[in-house]
Amino acid sequence: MSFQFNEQMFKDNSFNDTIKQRLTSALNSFSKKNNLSHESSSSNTPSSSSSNTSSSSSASIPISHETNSLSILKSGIVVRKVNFPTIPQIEILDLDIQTTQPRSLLKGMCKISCKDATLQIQTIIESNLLLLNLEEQPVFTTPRMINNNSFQIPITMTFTKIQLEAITNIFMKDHGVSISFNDVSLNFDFDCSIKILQSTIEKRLKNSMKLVFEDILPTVIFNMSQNWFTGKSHPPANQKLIQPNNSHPRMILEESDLQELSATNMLRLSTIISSRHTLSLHSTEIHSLSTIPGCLERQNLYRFISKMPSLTCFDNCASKLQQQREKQQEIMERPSRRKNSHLPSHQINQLPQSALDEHTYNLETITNIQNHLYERSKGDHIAPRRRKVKLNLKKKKTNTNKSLPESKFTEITTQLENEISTEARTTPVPVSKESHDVTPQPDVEDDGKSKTMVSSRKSSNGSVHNETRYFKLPKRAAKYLNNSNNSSSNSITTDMIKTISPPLSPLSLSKNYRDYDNSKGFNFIGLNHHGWRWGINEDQPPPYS
Amino acid sequence: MSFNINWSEIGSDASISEAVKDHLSSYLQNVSLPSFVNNLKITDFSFGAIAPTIILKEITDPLPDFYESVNEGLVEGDEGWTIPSPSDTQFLIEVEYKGDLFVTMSGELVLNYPSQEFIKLPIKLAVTNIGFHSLCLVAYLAKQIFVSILCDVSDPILDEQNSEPLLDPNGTFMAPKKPFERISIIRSMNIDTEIGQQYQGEGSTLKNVGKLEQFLLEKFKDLLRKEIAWPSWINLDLSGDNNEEESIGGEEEEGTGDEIQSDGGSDETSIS
Repeated sequence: MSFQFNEQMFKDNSFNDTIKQRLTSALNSFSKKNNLSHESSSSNTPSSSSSNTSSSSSASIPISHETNSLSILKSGIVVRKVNFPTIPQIEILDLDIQTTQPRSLLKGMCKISCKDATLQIQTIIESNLLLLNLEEQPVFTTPRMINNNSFQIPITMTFTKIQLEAITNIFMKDHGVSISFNDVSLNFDFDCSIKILQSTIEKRLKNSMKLVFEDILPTVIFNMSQNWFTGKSHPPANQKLIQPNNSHPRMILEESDLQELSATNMLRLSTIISSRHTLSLHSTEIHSLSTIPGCLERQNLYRFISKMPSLTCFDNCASKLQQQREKQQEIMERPSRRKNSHLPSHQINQLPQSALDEHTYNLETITNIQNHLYERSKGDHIAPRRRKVKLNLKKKKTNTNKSLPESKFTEITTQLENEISTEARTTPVPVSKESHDVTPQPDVEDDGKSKTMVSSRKSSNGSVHNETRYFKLPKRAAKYLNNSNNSSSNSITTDMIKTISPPLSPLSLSKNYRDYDNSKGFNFIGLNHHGWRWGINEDQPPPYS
Repeated sequence: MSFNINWSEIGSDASISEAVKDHLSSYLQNVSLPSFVNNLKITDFSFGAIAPTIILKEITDPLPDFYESVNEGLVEGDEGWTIPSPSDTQFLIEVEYKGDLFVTMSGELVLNYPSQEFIKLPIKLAVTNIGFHSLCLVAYLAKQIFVSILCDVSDPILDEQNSEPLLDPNGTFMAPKKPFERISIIRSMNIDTEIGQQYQGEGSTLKNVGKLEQFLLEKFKDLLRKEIAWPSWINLDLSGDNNEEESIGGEEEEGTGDEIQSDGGSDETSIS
């Protein structure tokens, strides 16, 4: 079985007592609300996961007064015995998760099986079928009664060897769980203290159990789960107290849908639409991507995408041509093998390795591109998350006190870091002599020894922090960080910076990038629509594949 | 300038793996989990034999964004206003890892109704084949360290794994789904799941549910993207006083993303 039930609970009868109480209260509150006779469909639910159909919690032994004298039940229903000798089993057969927004859906298929459960209930019924209710009857229509006494007899019903097997489909959405039961097979042996009624009751019960599993249980579980998830009371569908005509208008859009719609986009779309309700010839202007500032028409989308700043702009021309050639070859060889998830390479936002190796990138450009992409994708109101974590790496010996898990945690942290730092210190890390396209620095390479970076740092108040790191820098860099006031080292550092990242002028792409300033036009991504000219820039046809 | 990391020293030493495993496990036990998750722990952890490649690309001054964030809410001249000082530094690091680190975690989903731990569902996750290749920024200023992952670097090996999803049924489905997905960080990761537990040899357990793995991967990628990818960053504050209570924290390691509650904004948090 996939799910594990709490065996302990089943073995010692505490669970049974709880179920007894709950069932009793459930049956009695139900019978008092609805004046139906002997509707036992809610009493016979051996499956333990759905044994509590009502959410009422107070368990009280019912008194024998009855509010409505039409009912055949003369006292409340008492549950005498409940037992699950075999622990029920739930097995997962299948699981499916759909992550497509906005509604993520979890589908599961389970097999529930329960064997050998017993249930015994007891009540008192009125067996004088000729009993008349004379309370409200006027005297002149009443015949002369010889005997109009009620004859109440107790009845005990025992269900043994209850076997339930069902295959259920479980759907889990944002705010609810719905379970549907298929292939239900329910068997039980029924024993009634009044033998005349035994076969009748058994037949009726088995018929109504079908209804329970098909209809009643799924509804109840769904409502209960909605209550759990939303915390609001939701009126059940079968209650007759609801007025049929609700004055609230039906919501067609769900809240999750509304989050997907961006207000600015809606505004732009409405601008485009209203712009077409005109006889002006303004829209035939040929030198602009779009005549309306900030609005892009669908037919020009491919141009927009190809001009969009992404990290692929750091490709130099040679590699780009080669890429194009390779792509054409690929298309010729495999004409129809493109899966939807595979994006064309110019739309994947990655910095080309060649640009990284040859230092043709520009840090500021990269950060700007990433910022633009972030703003574009996140919408208007979500701030970047910047977690601040207070770290205190001093070696502090705390007493391991189990009531303070934090301090124990501290000790483990410091122990671990001590271990790692000792390991690190014993293995010297030589600096690799191969640096990419950078003139080798003899100063750096001569240092055979390596030191932990910032091994000791004087802070402003004079106290010394011992900090360890996981990787190390050559001594020169450590010195640079230590001596902040040393003017001679400043010149060394500037030399170092110059040699490590030689000032290369970014390629011609930066000229294009400068056009992407924040003018009024494409403010949201930084494209300047006035700088764009028809036919002068290379226009690629829209991708047809 | 690249670093040679003596990874085999860490990998072959079982006691370090054990220590990390215990450290992470105890962290998971102490962090506050949702009520329907129980008993989350790391069952196995190994560093693997392949080391990450760390190459230092540039040492420069920190970006102005960091100064702006430190000086947020302050006016020039206030106490705490930070001006760029020559000892502030920033490293641009290229990090690449295509190794065989693996972690296995186990946990339980519980239903606490009608009584405590009424139904339990055991779940095991095994994470392998982690691959990433990105540019990171590490900046130091005003006694704080800022760590952020800036962008991905194109890597033919990692991208090759994702380009043939038809031929490779065990493919990791990690290719970016939306055009201009800003950053992926994790370029490859395999998660094997096992749901359910056998009872006396009977019963079935679900293994390797593809959809579940995709779901978890997406959640994890989203989590990383939200937490540490530029323009977000992690700020380690080293300016702790001697007299303060120690508050140790760190990022959550590979927990299933949907379990972590999110709080808003860029406020200071100390996770305990």
